[in-house]
Amino acid sequence: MEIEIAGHHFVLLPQKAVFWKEQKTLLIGDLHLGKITHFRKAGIAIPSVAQHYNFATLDTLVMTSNAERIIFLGDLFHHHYNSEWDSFALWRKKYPALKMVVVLGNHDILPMSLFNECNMCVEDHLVENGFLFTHHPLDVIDSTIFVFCGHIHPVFCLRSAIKQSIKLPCFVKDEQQMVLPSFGVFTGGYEMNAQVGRQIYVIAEDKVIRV
Amino acid sequence: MQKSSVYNLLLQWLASKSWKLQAFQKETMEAYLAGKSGLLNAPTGSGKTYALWLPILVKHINSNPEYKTKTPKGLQIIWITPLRALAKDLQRNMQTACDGLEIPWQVGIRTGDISSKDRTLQKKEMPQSLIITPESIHLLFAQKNSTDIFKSVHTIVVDEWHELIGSKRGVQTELALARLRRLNPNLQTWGISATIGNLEQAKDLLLGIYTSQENSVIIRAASKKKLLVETILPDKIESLPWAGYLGVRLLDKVVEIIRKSRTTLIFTNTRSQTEIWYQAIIEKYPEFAGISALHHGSLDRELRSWVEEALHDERLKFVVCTSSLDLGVDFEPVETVIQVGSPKSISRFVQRAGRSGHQPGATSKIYFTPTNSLELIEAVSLREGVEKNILEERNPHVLSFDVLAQWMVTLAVGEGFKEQELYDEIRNTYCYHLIDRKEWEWLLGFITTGSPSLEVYDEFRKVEIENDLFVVRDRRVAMRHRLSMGTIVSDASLRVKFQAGKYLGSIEESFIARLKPGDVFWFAGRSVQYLRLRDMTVTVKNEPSRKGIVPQWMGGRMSLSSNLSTFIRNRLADAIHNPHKEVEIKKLLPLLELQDRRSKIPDSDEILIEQFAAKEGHHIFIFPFEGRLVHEGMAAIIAHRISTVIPITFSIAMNDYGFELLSDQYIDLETIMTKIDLFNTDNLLDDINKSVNATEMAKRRFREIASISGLVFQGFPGKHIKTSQLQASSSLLFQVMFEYEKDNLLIRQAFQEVLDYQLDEERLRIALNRMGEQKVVIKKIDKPSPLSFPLLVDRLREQLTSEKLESRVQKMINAYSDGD
Repeated sequence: MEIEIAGHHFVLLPQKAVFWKEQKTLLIGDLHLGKITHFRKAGIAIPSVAQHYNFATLDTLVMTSNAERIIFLGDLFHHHYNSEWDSFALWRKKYPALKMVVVLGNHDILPMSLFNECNMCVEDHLVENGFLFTHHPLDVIDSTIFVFCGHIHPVFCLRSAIKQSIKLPCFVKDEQQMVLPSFGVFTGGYEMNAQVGRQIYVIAEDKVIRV
Repeated sequence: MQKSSVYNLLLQWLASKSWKLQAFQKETMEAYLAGKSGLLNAPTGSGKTYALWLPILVKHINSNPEYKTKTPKGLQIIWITPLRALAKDLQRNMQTACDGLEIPWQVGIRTGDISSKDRTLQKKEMPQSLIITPESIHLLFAQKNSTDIFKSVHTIVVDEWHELIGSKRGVQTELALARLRRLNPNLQTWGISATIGNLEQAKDLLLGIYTSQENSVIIRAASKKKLLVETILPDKIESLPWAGYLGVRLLDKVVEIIRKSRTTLIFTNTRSQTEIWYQAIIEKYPEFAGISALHHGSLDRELRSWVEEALHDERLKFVVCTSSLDLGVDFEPVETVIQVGSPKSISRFVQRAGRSGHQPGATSKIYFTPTNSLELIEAVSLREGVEKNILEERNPHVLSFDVLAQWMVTLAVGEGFKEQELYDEIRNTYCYHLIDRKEWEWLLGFITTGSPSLEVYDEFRKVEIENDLFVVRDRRVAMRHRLSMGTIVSDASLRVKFQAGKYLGSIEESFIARLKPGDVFWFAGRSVQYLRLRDMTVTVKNEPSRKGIVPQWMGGRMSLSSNLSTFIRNRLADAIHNPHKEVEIKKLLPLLELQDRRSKIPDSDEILIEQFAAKEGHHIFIFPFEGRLVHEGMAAIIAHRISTVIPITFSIAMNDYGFELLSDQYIDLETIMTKIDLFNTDNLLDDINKSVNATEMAKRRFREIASISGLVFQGFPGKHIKTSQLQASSSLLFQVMFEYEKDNLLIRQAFQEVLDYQLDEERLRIALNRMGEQKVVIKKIDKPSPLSFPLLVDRLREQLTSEKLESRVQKMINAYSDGD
């Protein structure tokens, strides 16, 4: 599903990422790496194999999109350091030519040095070509810019007339802002409402469909 | 024993109270003193406590000649009760006997309600006898000195055992019993149970599956109370609706009965119905305000206690209640019991009837108030069931891996366990006697490495292995475990309170979500105005002048039991041949004749199918009379089977008598049935998986499993310790485990529970087999019959579809945009 915003072209991908064609940039929200291990350290047996699927999906995205850069829209890493960061560092080394930027989210409390060691730029937010990349959605937005953000983990509940319902992760586009779905395999969802001026794109298996 | 001095002592004491030993009490006493274990089958209020407590005291006197001055240290007797509310009464009765016989014993209580002062006292020194809930006994096993605590216990009594069987708390009890038996192989174990269909099994469960049963007995209290069932009949059958379940139309007749007796209990089937009935009576007969009350599980504990006390003191003319008053202590002033709507099970009906007429030899009488006309058939069926004393079985849980995982961690938090020893121990319980080594090893992995084997090592921290001993060393892990133990998972409910601070009870979030501040709703028997919602608390104020909506609570309606449904099928068939045998059938006759005119009344060897074309589409009604649970699964399967012959989508509705398949085209059932056997059971499991959204159902089941097995941590009660970093919804956990770990036992358990409890696969299979042998009668009708009408109006729609997710989504989107 491709959409145009202010003359730029963005592909909404069923892997829960956005590809910005003009800048060959992948946008990825709320990865929450380390969350599975964080739970496991507390004795909650989330299957540890699940974390590998994050990297497998990232690999697919990088390979198929030919991206030159990834912008992580915050909450890259869930809370304190654990061994999942080392897996991430190893994965990072596979793509030395790929630029990676992270705008910080509320869960990103790792020391800056770790990001730097991984050859990643760290920003509070990022502005480019009239687009603002940030973790938290904004309430008030300057009329000249368009915002990409994460944080909310949006899902949309489709209901049929006969009481059947299904919850799907979604991209939420308002007039000046788009919220990305959470990328990580172990992240929950927050149900969004339809609103005037809001477009919702749900991810149904390997398709992105506009509601 | 008869001539011993101890016995005389006992008789003297009984005589001083002008009590006499009944036959079953004597029999129990002899069996206990002979060292036997067993099950005592006796109803509430029959003297069942003393039947066991007195021989325990006699035994103590026998073996301790200086019993008046010397008392053995440490815990001797454990008395398990399912209800905290019963503990106080039990304690009083048991202590009275000790004091009367001059035995300086202490009877203590250990439940969630215990004060920290008592807890400290017990830590210093355990009383000789302890009344305890299954949860609390598990908590004691989580202490480092549990062997010390339990080593001197020689007798354990499980009260109201029938209530525990069939629940995960019953499994908890089985596990604790197995452990106590290992600590003391000579443990005497006794259960006390009301009558259920599977008493033998209830005894085996209690004593352990491989324990020799030779030295055990079942003792039945012969005092079978006479029970009368009277239906409250409408003057004209037309005044009862064809469908519905409120029944307030018979209100005046119910009030007539209330006026005639001291105190009346009115049992309804749901909490909402309780609120509605109370409101309806008070509105029409305001003179009852102040001398009547309501009682259900969502009311605040304090309010309920007040009602219970007022019942004891005969300050109330009537109480409208749910199963919350099924159990527990007896209220002597209760003379009359009224059941509103079908109780759906004969045992429940008998249990409720037993709440009246406590004087020895008195007859219990229960009035049945039908809420719709077809329930008159249920009335005669219930009466027949009561007369023949056919009571339902309570089916025990098997292989509840969640409870076992919790138990293993509990023991590891306590003194630790050796795996082979514990493995042998739990295989002696009924619940786990079929567990295999592979499953056991999975569980060991689950609690130690957080993965299916013991070999992986990462940062997972829970149970560690030290010299073959499985222990918890991490103090935070131990504390989290202690706080989250138990098997009762409370719904995310909101507390309701007045501005001044008094609590009324709890309500579901989904109900409040529909309200705006200022809206009025009816709760705890009064109308209140919704002010605000903050910190999981709903603040309200009194709003006497206006009427409000009544809240709904989840888990409302129960499904017809298999015993009762058999009676209903037979009574309906019998009504054709003997229409004048009973008043209820006579009353129902016009409706039965209408059924026969428009369609047919199925004979006992027939299965009735009605087809009816209407504006909204083509209806197929099938009437197996098996209860809504079985119908839900059966409807999905039959819809699926038809759709394998012709591509079609159905909407499904069901009630206790039958189910409906609605489609947009006519189905030629006669032809279809020549092509496919609709009632075949050969590929039943396969067809269930293809037709029912089992994954969605399992996800809902998983909520409880995740909580019991320690995957979901609810947080620290009352404390604001940050736990949000460790909180994940059970549906998210389900999703991750389902997708990434194929052999996860807890996920497997969720699907198994769907088959066992949601779809009742066994009953479904039996029902389909029966239908396969019956003669199929297909009637094309041009007006809805009395049997199909309730389905038409009371539908719970569910759609069966075999389309791929994507196209389903596309369809829903279309429907969604049309709707706006």
